[in-house]
This record gives sequence, C-alpha cells and structure tokens, in this order.
Amino acid sequence: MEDEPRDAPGPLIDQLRAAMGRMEVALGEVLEGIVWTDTEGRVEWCNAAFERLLGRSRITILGGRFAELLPLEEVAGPAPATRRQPPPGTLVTASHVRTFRWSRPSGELFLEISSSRLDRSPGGPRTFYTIRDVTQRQTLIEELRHRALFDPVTGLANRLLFADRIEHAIARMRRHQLPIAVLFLDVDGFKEINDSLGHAAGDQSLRAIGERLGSVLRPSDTLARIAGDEFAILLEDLSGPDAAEDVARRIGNAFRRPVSVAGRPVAVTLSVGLDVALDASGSPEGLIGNADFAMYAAKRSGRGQWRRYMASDREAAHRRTTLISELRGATRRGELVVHYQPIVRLDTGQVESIEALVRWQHPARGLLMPSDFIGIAEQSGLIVQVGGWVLEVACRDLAKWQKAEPGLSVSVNLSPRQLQHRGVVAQVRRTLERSGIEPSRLILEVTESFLLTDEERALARLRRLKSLGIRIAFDDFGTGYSSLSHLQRMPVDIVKVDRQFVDAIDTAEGRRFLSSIVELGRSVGVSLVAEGIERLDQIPTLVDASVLSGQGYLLARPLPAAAIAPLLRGGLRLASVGRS
Amino acid sequence: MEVAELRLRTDVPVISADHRGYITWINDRFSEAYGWTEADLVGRPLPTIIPRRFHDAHHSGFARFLTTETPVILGQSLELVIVTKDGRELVAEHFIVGSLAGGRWEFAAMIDPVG
Repeated sequence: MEDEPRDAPGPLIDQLRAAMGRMEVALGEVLEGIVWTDTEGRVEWCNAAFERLLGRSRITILGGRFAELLPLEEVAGPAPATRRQPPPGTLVTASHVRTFRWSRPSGELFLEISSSRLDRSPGGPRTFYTIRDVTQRQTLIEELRHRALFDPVTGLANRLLFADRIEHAIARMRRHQLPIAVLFLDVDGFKEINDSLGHAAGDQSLRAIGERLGSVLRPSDTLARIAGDEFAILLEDLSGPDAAEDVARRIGNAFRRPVSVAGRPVAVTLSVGLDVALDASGSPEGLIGNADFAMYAAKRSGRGQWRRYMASDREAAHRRTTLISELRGATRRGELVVHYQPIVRLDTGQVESIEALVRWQHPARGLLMPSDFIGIAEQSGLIVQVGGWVLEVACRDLAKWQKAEPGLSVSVNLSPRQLQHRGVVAQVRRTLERSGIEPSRLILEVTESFLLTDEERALARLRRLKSLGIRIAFDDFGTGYSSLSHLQRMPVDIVKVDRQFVDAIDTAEGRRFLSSIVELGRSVGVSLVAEGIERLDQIPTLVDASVLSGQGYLLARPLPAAAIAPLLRGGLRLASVGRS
Repeated sequence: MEVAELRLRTDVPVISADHRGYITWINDRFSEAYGWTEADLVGRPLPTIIPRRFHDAHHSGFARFLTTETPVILGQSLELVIVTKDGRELVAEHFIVGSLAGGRWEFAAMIDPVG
C-alpha cells in the first residue's frame, strides 16, 4: 500500500474522500448558504456562503444552534410562506420556503430560507436549510409599499392613504360621536410659482408648504398631498362643528409670513374648503369631494380664502357636466384626434412601436390634453366610447404604416373603466379583424389602478384579451400600489418604468432601484420601456442597465399621424446617442 | 512548523495522523491529559477523539484539504472540543500542522487543555 503511486485511484476511502472534497469545493462556491443540523438543531455542516453571511468561520459555527446563530423574525414575502409538496422519489419529507428578517448590529437583512427534513438519516433526522439573501428584493417591496401610500415629493400621505384614514375616522365616529372634518387646500397661483422658480423649486415650495401646514396641526391630524398643488387635512375628535373653521383661520394666519424656497422668501396663499361630518353617514370620497367644491367656491372669491361646504357649491360642478356633454358629441363631430409618440430602441435608434395618445380639438378651448378630459371621461363612462375610437384609429393607422415598416407595433391605453366594460374583448377582436393587423402588433397599456376594483375579474379579462394574441404593457410602473406582487401574477409582456425612476438614475440609489426593477423584470420575463427620457446622458445609463427601449420628449414628442410616416423613413438616428 | 518538529515536543500533548486521517502516534503528555493510550488510538481514525456532532465537518474539511491542498485551519490556534477516553468532552486549544513527507501529507496537532 505504501508503494501506491500518488495518482492511483487508491482504496475506496480515498476515492470517497476525493469526491467529498470536490463537492465541498463546489458547495463552497454556491451563493446560497447551505446548512444542515442534527436532531437537536445544532449545526453539523455549513458552506462558505453561510460563513460569509454570519461573518464567522465554520469552526466557530459548528455545534451552535441554528435558531440562536440566526435569530429570525418571519415577514410576509411577495408570496405567502409556501409549503412545497416534496417531489416524488425525494427523501425529504417536509419542505418550506419563508422570508425572514434578521436584525444584526450592522444592519437588517432579509433572508429567504428553505428548510427540508430528511427523516431517514444515520444518527437521526436532519434538517437542511438553504438561505438566500433577498434584502434587495425585500427593500424594493418596502419602498414600493411606501411609495404606494406616501407622496414622494413631500413625504406626506397620498390620496389613497388619506381616504383610508377618513374611512377609519368615520368608523371611529360610530363609537366616539366626535365630529371629523376634511379640509381641501389648493395653492393659489402655483403654476406661476412653478414657472417663475423652476420645476425643482416648485417641489421645494410644496415641501415648505407641507411643513408650514404641519406646524399648525396636532400630531393626531392627517396631512396629505393628494394631487399636484392640492393638500388635504383630516381633523378628528373635534370639540365641535366650528373647531375646523378655527384650523382654517390658523392656516390663513400661518401663511401671512412667506415660506422659504431655496433661501428666497416666497409669498404663498391657499384656498381652503372644508366639510364637517357630524355623523358616520359620509364616505371618504364624499367628504373630499364636498371640501373640494367648497375650495373652488372659496377660490372664486379671491386668494387665501376659506369656506365651509354648502350644497350650492356643487353647482360649480356644472362646468364639468358641460364638458362631459360636449365630450359626448366630440367623437361624432370629429373633434378628437390621435397623436403618436415613438418608442425607440435605445441602442439602435430604431422605432419599435408608437403610443397612441388622444387629443381633443375643442371648438372653444383649443387643443385639450388627456389630463384635461380623460378624468371626466373615465368618471362618466364616456371613456369606453373614446377609447374604442382611439383603438380603431390607431389600428387603422398602423396597418397603413406597416406597408413600409412591417415590424412596427402600436400601443394603445386601456383605462380601468374600459377594462371593466363587458364588451372590451369583443371590441378589441373586431378592431383587429377590421384593420387586418397581426394581433401581436397591438400593445394594450394598462395602469395598476385597474386592479383596485375587483382585481380577480380585471385579471381574468386581461388574460382573455391576451389570448387574442395581443401584448399587454404595464404603464407607470412603480407609482401605484404593491406593483411587485402584482407583476408576478399579471399576464404582462412589457413594463413601462415610470419617469420618476428614469429621473433618479443620476443617483446611486436611483441606479440601484433601476437595477432591482430590471432584475425583477428579467425574473418574470417582461421587457422594459423607460418613460420620460429627457436628457441625452440618461440613455447610456439605461442601456448599461439593460433597459433597451424608451420614450420621452428627448427622443420624440407626440406627433400628428401625418408626421409619423416620414419619421419611420428617416429613423431617429439615435445610434450615436446611445453609446457614444 | 513541520510535523516532525511538533513530534519532538515533550512538554505538551501531541498527536499525529497520516494522509488518510488515521492516528499514527501520540506522546506521553497526550495520554496523561486525555486518558487514551497508544494501544487505544494508533491505527484508529481521528473522529475517535472528535465529538459525533463535528464528524461531518471534520470529514468534509479533511477531504477539502486533500483535494485543494489549501489549508483553512492549519497553522493557527483554535479552540475545539476533544473527547477523552472516559467519554468526557474537553475544550482544548488545537494547533494543527501538516507537511508532505515522501509525497504524502501527514498531520500533527498540539492539543492543550484550556483552563
């Protein structure tokens, strides 16, 4: 035996040892921590990734109890804790995957741990763990959750959270009987502030206004920013119906002093409407709506005024109803037009698809943007008619352009109300047939908001739409509520990354966030489109992050249909922009 | 430090093993400290003096070293548990070395009881 050459296979024990050595090396290269414990939960073996996770060498880990080495607190992952059915033929008898929080002195980590038990093992049953660091994913979930409820500019509650707080306040009123009030506040002439100081200063002034408002309120009051320059306040446990008016007066006084924006004093006034609920019969939207009407009435009487809601304020809504009836005839009268914004391959400059965007050539008010009338179209249900018309026109135009550019696709927005509409699948099918375009060349863009009402039905309808062969894009990704969990379940092909993420890629945090989204997109197999590209230097960063499609004013503004054909012929010549 | 050097120490417990992990030699200090005699140990595998719960890690660590020849625990002081002849577990400072002799690895450890 002593004369065996060193390279000979040698006795069985040497062969086993060599095989074990190679396995040990291979398991040392695995990124997940791997651990097994004995019947008493003491670590018998672990790999190098687990040593790195604990920052300790194996020799000091061995014999320690797994539960004491890693004191964990279970958290809800994107998917609930799953109990996996062991595959047939496996030796493992029970298997779980759960997400945990591990609070270490040096910071918090989120770990996804799968545990499996092997009952038939010499020396008693053993438990095997694989441990994956999912901190980045979990942080993204937390951030999205926060974004879903808080306004990113001011850090205040957003409309969704505000409505939820009112809901709770109304429920509490049933027990405590103390009145609550909703104040609706609009910054007078905010557009001028924004225009004169610039966009960034506009955000700063919103923050300054938020802080000033906060200084007037009690800690128990809720302050929210619910739209552009609109704030709202919920006052609870009021001593009486007039207490809310005192707060409105205090707000007026608080803004006698200018706020400071970038070191400069800026005079700000607010128009305030308020509505008091004396019993629990109201609804959040009703209260916000009433306060909003009162605010409009206050604004008509001059800057810096406040007003308590009266039924007559609703007459101000008359204008809106006028607009609705005008919109009703607008398609018939040919006042609606479709403009198109190219979506471009960022590394080649090739136009991949074009997004159809509706405009209203109003006879008296000029060219109206979607933000001016889609809201009322959605509320009134006219969106079904308007949206159907846009779909029809967009498919017809695409069929024309495809003669020159067969690979081109068209993107059409599908609003929540349209998706709720029973006939939407048939409408899309008929439109495809009439236009003769290949179904895969039609992309329907939906936003997360459609999931807010009757999610299951909305998803089912989306799946039926997709079964026509069309593609689905998820618009404004990251701005809505719990996007991440939804993305994993949605029949979606494309995710359009909201402009706020594109704006933020200058910062390390922004790039990290973007790469999380890219990774997420890759893991669920969707392609990404960056929205709102406005600066040349954003393109190489996006391409580096593997976001290869984009749209934005820098690339091309929305254009009338007549301008698209020449553009397709000429191309965007972005190749030099992409990676120079 | 070479295995041969360590085996010259008479003031501390020393044990040596061959490239397959079989014990080849112990000194008198070792017998005094842990109760094992030469007859008990020579020709026996190293896990004889290692508590059961550390066997997996011992085997895989030993196998890794022989496959990679890259030491992880050699040449440093480590507090490890040793099993005495009467079955007690003692914490002892281990200083383990390995060296090549005639193309084969051999190992020796100085194992000093703690406290």
